[in-house]
Amino acid sequence: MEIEAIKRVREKYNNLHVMIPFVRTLAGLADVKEMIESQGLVRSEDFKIWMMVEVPSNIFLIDKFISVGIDGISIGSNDLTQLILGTDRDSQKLSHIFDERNEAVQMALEKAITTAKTMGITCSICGQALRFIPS
Amino acid sequence: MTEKLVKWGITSVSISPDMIDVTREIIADVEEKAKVNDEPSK
Repeated sequence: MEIEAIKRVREKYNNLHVMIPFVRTLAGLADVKEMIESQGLVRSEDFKIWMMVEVPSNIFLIDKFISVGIDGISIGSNDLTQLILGTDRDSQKLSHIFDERNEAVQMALEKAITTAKTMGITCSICGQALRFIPS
Repeated sequence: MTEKLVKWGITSVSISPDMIDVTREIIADVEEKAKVNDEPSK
């Protein structure tokens, strides 16, 4: 139904693209991509498919995820940080642990961004990570 | 944080409205420095 809606909008406006959220496995990404493309929405100059990077598995296998065939990644820093640190921003007991400046989170961000750059796709970031200003 | 992301090669960042001005300045600064570093030494 969502694919139908996207197709309908794209009949008039071709600047609508797709970003696949919360991808857990390579097979999961391939499946969703195939589902989209089987409905006639095929990657091209004016139709992009992006993937969100929120799950730690995305970081470990980032080059393989990119090789499945995507136009770019968007890092969801809130979920990625929570899942790397095993914390929960909404929990009173655990929220103080949430910090994107944690060394493990920084390593993950660096790997995703530099790999995307090397492999020639775009990389954006969305979340609260940029609230820190160097003092 | 922003400085590192730009150095690593981020394409775009999303931020809250109150951070637009300061973030723009940080990015411009880092990009300017990177430009200087990229120039061949004379």
